[in-house]
Amino acid sequence: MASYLNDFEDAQKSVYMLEPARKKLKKGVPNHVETLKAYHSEELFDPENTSVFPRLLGGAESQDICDKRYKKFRSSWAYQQQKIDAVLLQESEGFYDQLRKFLVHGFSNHDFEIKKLKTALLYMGSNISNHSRTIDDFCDFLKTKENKVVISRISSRNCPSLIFAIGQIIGCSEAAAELQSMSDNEAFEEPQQDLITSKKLDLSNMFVSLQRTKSCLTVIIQDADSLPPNILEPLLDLLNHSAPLVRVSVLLGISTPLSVFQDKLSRETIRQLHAVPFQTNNSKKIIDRVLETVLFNTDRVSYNDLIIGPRVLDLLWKQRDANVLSVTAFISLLKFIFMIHYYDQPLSVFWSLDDTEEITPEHLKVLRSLSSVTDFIFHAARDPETPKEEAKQLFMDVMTNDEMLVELTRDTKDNLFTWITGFAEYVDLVYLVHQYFATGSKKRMSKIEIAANVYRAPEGLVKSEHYKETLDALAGVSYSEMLTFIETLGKSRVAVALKGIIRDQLDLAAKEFANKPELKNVSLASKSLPPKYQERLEAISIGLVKLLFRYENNCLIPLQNDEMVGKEMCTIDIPSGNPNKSLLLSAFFPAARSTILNALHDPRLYLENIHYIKPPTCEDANSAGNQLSKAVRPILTELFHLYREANTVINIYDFYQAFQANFPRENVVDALVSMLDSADSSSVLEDLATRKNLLLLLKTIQSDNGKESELAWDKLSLALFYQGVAEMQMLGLVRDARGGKTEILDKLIWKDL
Amino acid sequence: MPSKSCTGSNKADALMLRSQELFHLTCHIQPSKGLLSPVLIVEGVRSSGKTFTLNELRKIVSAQSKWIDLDCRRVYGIRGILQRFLVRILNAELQAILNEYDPALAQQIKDRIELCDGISSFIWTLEVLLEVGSKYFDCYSHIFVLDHIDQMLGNDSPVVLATALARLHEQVPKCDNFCFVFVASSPNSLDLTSLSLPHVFFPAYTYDQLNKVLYLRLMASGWRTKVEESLWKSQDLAKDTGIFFKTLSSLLLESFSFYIGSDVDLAIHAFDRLFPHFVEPIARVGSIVNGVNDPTAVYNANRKLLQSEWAIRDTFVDEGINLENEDTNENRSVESYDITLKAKYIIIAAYLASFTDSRYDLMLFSKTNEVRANSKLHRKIRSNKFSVNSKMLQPQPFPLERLLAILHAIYHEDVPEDDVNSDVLLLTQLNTLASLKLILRATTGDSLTTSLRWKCNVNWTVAKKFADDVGFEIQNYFIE
Repeated sequence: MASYLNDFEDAQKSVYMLEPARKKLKKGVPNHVETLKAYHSEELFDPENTSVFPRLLGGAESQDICDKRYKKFRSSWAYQQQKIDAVLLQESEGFYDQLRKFLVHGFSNHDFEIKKLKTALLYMGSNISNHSRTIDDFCDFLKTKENKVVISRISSRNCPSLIFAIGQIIGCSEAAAELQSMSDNEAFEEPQQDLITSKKLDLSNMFVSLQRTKSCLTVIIQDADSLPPNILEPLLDLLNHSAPLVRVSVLLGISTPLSVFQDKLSRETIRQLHAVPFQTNNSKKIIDRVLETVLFNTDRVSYNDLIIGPRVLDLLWKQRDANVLSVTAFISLLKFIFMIHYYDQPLSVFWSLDDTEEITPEHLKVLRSLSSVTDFIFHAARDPETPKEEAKQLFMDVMTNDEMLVELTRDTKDNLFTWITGFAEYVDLVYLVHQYFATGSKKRMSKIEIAANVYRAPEGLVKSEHYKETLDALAGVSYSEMLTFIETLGKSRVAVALKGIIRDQLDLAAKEFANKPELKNVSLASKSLPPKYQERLEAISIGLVKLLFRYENNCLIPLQNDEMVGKEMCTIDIPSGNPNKSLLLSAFFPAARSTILNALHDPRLYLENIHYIKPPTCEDANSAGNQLSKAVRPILTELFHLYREANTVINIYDFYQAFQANFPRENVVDALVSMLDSADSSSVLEDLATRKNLLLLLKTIQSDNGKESELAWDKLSLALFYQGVAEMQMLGLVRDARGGKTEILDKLIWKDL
Repeated sequence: MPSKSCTGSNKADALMLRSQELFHLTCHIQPSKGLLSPVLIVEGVRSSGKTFTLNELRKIVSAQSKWIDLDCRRVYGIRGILQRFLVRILNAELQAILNEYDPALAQQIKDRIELCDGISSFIWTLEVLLEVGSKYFDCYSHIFVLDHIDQMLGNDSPVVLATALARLHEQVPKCDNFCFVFVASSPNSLDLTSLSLPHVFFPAYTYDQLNKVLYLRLMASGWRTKVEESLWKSQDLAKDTGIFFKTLSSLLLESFSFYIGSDVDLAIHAFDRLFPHFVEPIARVGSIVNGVNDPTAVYNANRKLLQSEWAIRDTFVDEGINLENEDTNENRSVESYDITLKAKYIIIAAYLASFTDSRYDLMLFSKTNEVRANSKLHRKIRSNKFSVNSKMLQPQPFPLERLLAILHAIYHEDVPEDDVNSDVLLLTQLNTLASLKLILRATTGDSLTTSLRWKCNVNWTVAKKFADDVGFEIQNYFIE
């Protein structure tokens, strides 16, 4: 750096440096890496107690409450995560067990003449981000279930050639052997990392030790598609032939169709394999289950549950349909949604058990501006039964009477609890009715689809045309069918409500039908039932419809009338007014590119420095660092603004001229000088010599004595300019090009269309 | 490779076929100092009895020699082969001699063997061993067999190893009691033809010989017991078994000689497939009844078994053979693959980017109809008469921006209700397709470099299939 500044001509030359040997690099870890490690090892950063949320309400929120929101998010998500983990485990266990049995057990000894390698072909779906999770889970599962299995994982990333693959396998078996000996003498040594240099490339030793411990070797190749056949084929051949007595099995994860993968391998290799295809669980199914667990709490509603609003549910459903998200990605999406709720909803802190949280005037202000409150007032105003005076009074109360508003919110909390339970039960009921009586596509409708339909049809499902058919079917069933249906209902969540409403009818019917068992299978629709029996059966059917109505009243009317004042404290939804501004949308459409471009265009959101906002005190405003930020935006931003105005081809000299002309020279130089002159200048630039040189250069510019200072200024601005252009290149905005005799920059866009 | 072991009289029979070659081998490999040829090349096509004959020779000479054989296909590289040789030279007997001489040296040699990483260190270790245990090496001649040397694992060249070992007796004068036998299917691959080395050639089996070898192999295999078990009612077990295998092996060879050639192993694999179908009718009856359940009768009843190529088709999942005369095409299910709609469009766009000229992009993909209808452009293309159909050429690399531009154009036209957002999801799908090798990076190096280019890695049939799936008329975008 020093040499660049000393001589302008030097800056034009290339400098070559001898790189330090690689081994040396490995030994000395740079300082900042250590610091980062320490930061992440929770010495400096404690995710439990450090709040990363900003203070809301225009900064008026107390730090205490802000921390509380953060903690609430953590506990809430931990609760959901626990439920999700249980679901994932339950979904995959059976399948893993099947795979385990194939890979580890049932090795046949009578192969006559041909020895075949046991191979499980695991079809993992085309979404690669699911693969690691599946394989990780399966490895853990295998380790817990079998203790005599050596698992070795290979992927195309860590095996650029066959030698690495062999080294990897030997390394794994050695690590496993060490682990076993470790349990004996409890001394733990790091497994040898550099396998290639340790000269152990002979698989035979490994097979001998495997034979001694009677273990089974399972080689898992995660992405067999990407592993070149010239590695895969000899590897499979080696594994098949190295030892006759050791049990070896292979798991090949493939994501292309079987026939495509088959074409990649030679027939000789294929002949050696005893292959059985396996199919991982469809990720869509798992995603459905995860969403169901989060949406409909299974046992007891707690303050950790949130309501997912109609628009978000719609988006989630679309994401799941597009089939591009892996299970892991979907779960992190849900987590992100939960986080955003606690992140930007100041009222979320009231969604808790203790009622002691103090409502500040700022909170009340937010509460009054909520759409649920305005809806509440409007509803009262429009309602013809409410006298106008009363509606007016209500409006005044809400706007002025703090206590009343708080009281209303408190009521809402109880209502919300009943609503969440009721909603889950209602969806369950509709789901079961569909299962039993619907035909066609409706029979396969999942609970989430039903929930989305409920949101879409606020007048009620029963009344909607969509469900008429199903209800007709319900009205035409036979007694025995009805009985089995009611039995299933009895096992579900709606059991309690069910008992209250049709128990008497059921008892009566049971008595009647006991006398005439032959009528049990006669359906209502056939109209051949004696009137008495028909009446009984109809009564039950009506009872069921009544049940549906009752649930609808409980779930839909609050949804329709917005009776729940302040429901936003536990509802995640995109506001209907200005949806584009909602932070939630970034969870669904993370546009990486436009985020970068927006940040470059307007760094205000990211740089909360003096250039954009007033500092809290006057002293800060005059500090050297702030002077600099006030004088100029980041160089990259300055360049980006010029870039936006430029044509697709930019002459680099013109670009530089424009940059230099726009640059606030005086202010920046002054700020830099004061920074380097200050007492703690060593924190700005560590190297003393560089600091001195730079200061000298800046002083020359400041002195303003004609040519000399102009030249110095050229040096500084050119250095800044080149740095900025290099950064732009790295961001993929421009590329170097040569147009005729001049050097130009080319915008990286496809111009032919 | 299956182990080729024969027992009893079978072995003698099999050996009869290779007696000539065995005689030649014994000429060169005589386990006494001075008569042992330092190098011997054994040549012959796959499955011509090389390993089998050498194993026979081993038994003949084993009394006065140490036989060290190695399958080069199962050991990694030159380093692995040489290490394995040294480990096996250093047997207990030699170890004892070394320990007597100098225990420190013995340990040093042991370490040295572990570190042996090339020919020079191999020679060093060998020299020390020869020096110390000269009496031992005088007693025993060492015969090293490098089986399948032309199919060595890894990137090492067999030429390097073969030339070095062929000249070893010149470099190390004391190792005149060593013999290196290179077994290869073609000696040209070893690049030793310029040296006048003894050379034993194994001709491929003739049809009759092959028939006999196959018969003998089958008789010696585990299948024999299975057949004997199923012949529980038979009067003359040995004769019936013989008939069964003889008929079946000749049937097999007659049907598939176009595929099997002279390779017994291929015949064995085909036999493995067919065996259950032929043994099952016998097991039902318990004995072979001529014209009812003997192999010829079974074959006559189910001609499809041998007439279709089912027995020699190698697939991961054996779907079995349908012996009824049904049209199997109707039953074939559509292969399932789950690729999203957008991903299919990406593949189509990649195909178009790779196989159409970027000069015509404006005409083909422009959103405004006026540009597309521009007659000047059309005329320009028509004049270009003699160009080759682009589908027959290799895919042209394209920058990612072009792919995205085409994607925007075609996706917007076909699916107006949806939009291509340049968001993370799009990038994820691109990455997924790249990892499936459906699109490939055409340039190596840094992924941040601006000159990165991509290629489409699917052929016309696949692209057409995807296009048909989404109802996209891909053929309209080609100028022919």
